[in-house]
Amino acid sequence: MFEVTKELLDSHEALLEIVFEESTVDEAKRRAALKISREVNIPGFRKGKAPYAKVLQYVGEPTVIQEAAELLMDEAYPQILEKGEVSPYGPGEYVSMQPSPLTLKIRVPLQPTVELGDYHSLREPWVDPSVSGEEVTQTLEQMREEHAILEHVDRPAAMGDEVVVDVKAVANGDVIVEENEIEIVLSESRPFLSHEFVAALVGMSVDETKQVTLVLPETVEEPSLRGVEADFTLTVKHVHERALPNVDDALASTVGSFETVAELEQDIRQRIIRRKQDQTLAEYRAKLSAQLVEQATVAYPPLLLKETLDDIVDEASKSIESQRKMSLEDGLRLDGLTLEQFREQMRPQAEARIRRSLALSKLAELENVTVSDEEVVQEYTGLMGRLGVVEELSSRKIEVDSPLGRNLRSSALGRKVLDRLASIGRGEGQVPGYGAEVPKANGVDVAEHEVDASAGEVETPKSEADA
Amino acid sequence: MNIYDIIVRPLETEKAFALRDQTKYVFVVHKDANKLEIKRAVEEIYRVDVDRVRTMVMPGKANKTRGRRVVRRRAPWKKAVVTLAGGGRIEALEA
Repeated sequence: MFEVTKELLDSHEALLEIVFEESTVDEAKRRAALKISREVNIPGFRKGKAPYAKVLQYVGEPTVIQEAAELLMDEAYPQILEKGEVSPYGPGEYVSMQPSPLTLKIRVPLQPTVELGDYHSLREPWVDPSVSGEEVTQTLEQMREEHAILEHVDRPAAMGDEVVVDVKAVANGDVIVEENEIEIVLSESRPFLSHEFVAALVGMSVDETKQVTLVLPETVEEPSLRGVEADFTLTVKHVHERALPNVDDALASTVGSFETVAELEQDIRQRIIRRKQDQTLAEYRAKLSAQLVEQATVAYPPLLLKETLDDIVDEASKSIESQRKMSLEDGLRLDGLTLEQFREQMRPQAEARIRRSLALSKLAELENVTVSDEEVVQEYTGLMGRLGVVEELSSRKIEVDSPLGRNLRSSALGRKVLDRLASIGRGEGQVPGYGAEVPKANGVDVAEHEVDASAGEVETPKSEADA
Repeated sequence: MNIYDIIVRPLETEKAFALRDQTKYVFVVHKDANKLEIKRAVEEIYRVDVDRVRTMVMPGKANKTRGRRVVRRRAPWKKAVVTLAGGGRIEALEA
């Protein structure tokens, strides 16, 4: 029926040359002519009734051959791939066609290949995070600040007081602020607006009005106002002395359902350790996956790069639409870029994403990491819990093969793979993380800490050709 | 009248193609040509033996012009159905 010769290209594609037998081509040409006669209006004939010779004469032989080639490719493509021993990543692309004997050349993107090398020897020291007494004290101090008791005083405002002020500010002839009863804590360590602003308020009494000219600091939101001189009119309405509560059991019961300061300190310690565990684990995984990707040998076709760039452009488009309320094209135009230039800029990012995704997918395959349907359901329940959805809704069944189910499976798989990688990196069993046994750190159980789901996403490449 | 003036062209329609199975070929011929002239012309041009010729004058169809009340009529034309003797075929008209 046909002969296939294969040539492997540097671009991780296969160039297939298919030569069809004459009898096959003749038969296909007749079927093609019938198809054409059904679609084309040939004078003197009803649709589909024109004889082969008339169709050839009416539309020309090249058209019939082209149609016959397409018919043959549609029918024989799976056999062609099989005969050419090609595992395609996506649909093939016509390169050329010769009519006699009918010879087609097609370029087929190949499935990506990944060699991870000796990934079992990857090592990264794991350091259990700890919490110092100073960190606990700092948090307690913040709590004291938050729960300060305010008392009216009839004296000029002093550093550490809280004042209630009417503020009006004029810069470049425009009123930039006009607000009444703003509560301002006069603090040296964390000054409101600037040190000069706080200093202007210190010493002012109730109902006193003062006019000062100050340079707006670089921290103001509006860029055009940074470093600009502004005339402030300040009227103090109230002066409150802030009495910080003592660190005692009373404070503990005020900030939460704790009976003693010791319980409060333990809770603070737990929260800090959870945060640090998350951060340390995320950094640990990132380092190891970077090492894995670094030593992996990855080959993929241009089609995969194109698809990944399409995804990135799509993400950028959604992001610009939601943040800047404009289309991607308009956003890029403001940045002086064309879409093509943007795609070219994003190319390294797309390549890195592909390499990481392929390396982690391969690791999942080699380490036989899978996600069961039950785990997908658990993932769903967890997600609903994090979103604060009521129990009735979260108890609804999820279709594991739905887009959401696939997404959750992919997310869970990503975390499991990274967990596996982390355990390899430590040269031992499991490390703290998703689904893993959780160690006690500083005597604190950190079982409930959460891990950034986006860090563990694995995009599994297509496994079948869309031919 | 020249033989090439008598035979204007073979008629290629679904029906004319169907008649070829009965060794009948259909031609558009000069409107003044008679059956004898048509027989001689076909025999001479295609080198075949003609058994029988049947002719008919086809009425010209009316072409209506959209938006105008003018009706154009095409000229009537003559059709000849030529039956070949002894199941012969005209190779030049076959596919």
